[in-house]
Amino acid sequence: MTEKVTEPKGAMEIRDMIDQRLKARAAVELAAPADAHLDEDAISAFIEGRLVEAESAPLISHLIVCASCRHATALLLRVESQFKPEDDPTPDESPGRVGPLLERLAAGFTPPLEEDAVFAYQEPEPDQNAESVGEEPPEKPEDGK
Amino acid sequence: MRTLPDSRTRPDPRLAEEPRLAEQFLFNLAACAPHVDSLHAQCAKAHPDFGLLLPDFREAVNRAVRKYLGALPVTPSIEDILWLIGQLQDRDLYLALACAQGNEQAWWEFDRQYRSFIERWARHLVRSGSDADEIIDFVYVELLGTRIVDGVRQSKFRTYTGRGTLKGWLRTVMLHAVVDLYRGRQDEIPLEEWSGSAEETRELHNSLNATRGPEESMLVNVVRERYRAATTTALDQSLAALDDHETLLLLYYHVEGLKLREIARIVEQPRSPIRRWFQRQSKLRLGQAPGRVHESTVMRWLEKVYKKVSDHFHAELANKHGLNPAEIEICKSIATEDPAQNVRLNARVTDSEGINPEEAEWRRTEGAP
Repeated sequence: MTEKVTEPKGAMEIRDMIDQRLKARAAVELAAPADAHLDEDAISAFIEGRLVEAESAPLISHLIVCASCRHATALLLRVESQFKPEDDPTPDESPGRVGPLLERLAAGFTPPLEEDAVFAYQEPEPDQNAESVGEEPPEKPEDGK
Repeated sequence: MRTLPDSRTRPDPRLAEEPRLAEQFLFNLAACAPHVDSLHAQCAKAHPDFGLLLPDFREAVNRAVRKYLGALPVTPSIEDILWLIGQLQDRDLYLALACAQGNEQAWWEFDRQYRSFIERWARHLVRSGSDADEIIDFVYVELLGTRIVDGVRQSKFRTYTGRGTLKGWLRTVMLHAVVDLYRGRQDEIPLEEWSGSAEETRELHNSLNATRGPEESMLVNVVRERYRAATTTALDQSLAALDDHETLLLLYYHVEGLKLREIARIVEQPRSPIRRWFQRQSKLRLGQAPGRVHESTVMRWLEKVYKKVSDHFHAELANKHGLNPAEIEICKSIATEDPAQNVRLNARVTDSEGINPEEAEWRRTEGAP
């Protein structure tokens, strides 16, 4: 670190210039058409570092010009870094939210979209509440190969 | 703009324009079918009650191959395709496809494996418990699918290809749901109520303009404008000369405000394309094992990019604009005197939580944002 302190003033200036210019350009960036955005599948594969260079090249080019997708990836990186591995729980054996959904599947009934929130809402069970406010479940190995 | 093609709705135009290449691609894809069949057999053995048929599994794998290899500049070989298929999270994909088809056992298994994670992630993303419940319900309904097109339920699961983990995909789907939720609410509130700094910036601009006074001559303004234009052009040219990996690094750091350790996360994977690109530029010594990417590594990458921009910037001003060293110094001082920048920099100082001491020191001594 001591070497950096002795760097010329010009090094600081170029950082400031880059910072200012990039922010100014980002402020007037045009939004990409909605159908041109990266989907969750591509974003998650990129964030997980699973894409090789040939696969990621078009994605990186897109992130440079599309503030919306870049912001999504940045947000994901930020919140993921605060999500502790011990927060990753083991499989939950208790009955959960899927019951009402399966009933819906069995009934073959699909309500209009505006009714979804009402249909899908379910009071959290007492044990779920307790779990969410501080119980630390055993660590589960990360997914993947 | 080049983007990853979505094979569901947008066939790769390159393949459409070049039937011979498309034919070769299909031939290579078909040659990999036995391997796909074998994967399906393994998954079906593990979950015989999911009821996912081989043709549906094959179709999903082909979709993944088309999506991630279909846009390559050359037709992917059989080896390329086999490699990609080997990278797919086949068990996750099998589960997702079965859920998309509405298989009850698959849904129970999904709920058992992921419900706790979904609830914790939702509560990590949003502060309010009711918002978290809203997000969870919304995501479950999206996963189920509320529309039926041509007899097929449009489950969100159908967009998952298995290229990343199902858990990573769920994280992203839920983050998008949160962004949409808050964006919807923000639209209902006047913008000025969300931006407390706008007035502050305006006041600062006014006070600085007042100090210049009316006596500043038109000639000075013209000269300043000339330097300013040259500076902007040269800086844009310098930034444009960067490789995409370098530009994205700058954007993550300066525009998105990611911390070094957060950027380091994206390059942690040994195969990470950004990591490999920067390591190639650094000319790793033969036999040197690529170790973990630390914040200090990202810091060094950034410094190299700054140096590259600086060198290009000086060369542009000197060679294309014919400026001498003294004039270049004037350009640099003009470029950094924007009062709005001071506001932004001050705002960032208060956001030091979570920055490690090394990065904080680096930001301080280097004048980094």
